[in-house]
Amino acid sequence: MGFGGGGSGSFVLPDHTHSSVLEDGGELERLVTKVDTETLEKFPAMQLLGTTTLGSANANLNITSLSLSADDYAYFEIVFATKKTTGSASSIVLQINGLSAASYSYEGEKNATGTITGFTANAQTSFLLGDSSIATGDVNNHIVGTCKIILDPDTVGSDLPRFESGKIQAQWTTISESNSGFYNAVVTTLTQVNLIYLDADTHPTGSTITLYGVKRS
Amino acid sequence: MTHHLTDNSINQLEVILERLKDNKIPYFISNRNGKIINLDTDDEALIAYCTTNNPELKVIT
Repeated sequence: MGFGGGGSGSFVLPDHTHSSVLEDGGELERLVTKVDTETLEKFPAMQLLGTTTLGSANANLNITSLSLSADDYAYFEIVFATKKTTGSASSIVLQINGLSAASYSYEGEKNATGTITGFTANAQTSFLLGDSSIATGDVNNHIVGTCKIILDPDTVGSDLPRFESGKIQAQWTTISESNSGFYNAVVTTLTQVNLIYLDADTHPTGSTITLYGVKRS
Repeated sequence: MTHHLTDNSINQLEVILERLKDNKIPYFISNRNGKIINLDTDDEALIAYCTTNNPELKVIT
């Protein structure tokens, strides 16, 4: 018996018989357990925790009034988009919880059209996201990136907060940068994330920062 | 016979930086192609190392 499909071809079904007898497919190769809705809802997931879009230019691109415990979140992640619109080139940096003591340390690297520059820094007042070749002061350079914030990996409370920036890049540049580092004091609750320029330049209207958190359980 | 070669000499920069980290003394260094191209610090030993590594480093204000 032949039949036409949705296209121009055809298929001839081989001779066969039908049966109502159920067949045993054999043992499962791996243990499988049922997962109900309640369990799924508790499953670790990334949650939206806050977002800010600037209605006017501001030196701070931040999310404030947070109270997020490291006991509840394995890590946080910010996603941001801004521009360095005025002034000269500077660096764009991250501070958490309003902490501006010289206690941030980091290492990282920048790839500028294939040439690698390494960074190492200690006892700084902020964590470097992008240096002056990222935040160039060119209005066309739309600076986009992410950064993980890991307050306390094991919940014991003795670890230092860690930062891991994704590859930060300014639009229309051939330069990207990624850094990782610590704040040299225990922090168990995230209350604020803030992006600033080291030269105190402003983020333009429309700049955004969003904070997500990955639940521990 | 295969010869295995390795450099076990002390990394002088690492020694300096570890001391600065232990004492929470600020520094910022960037390094391109093995040459230090930016340095911010008040530590004399680090300044001496970096200016030897790259004699072209110039003080800017």
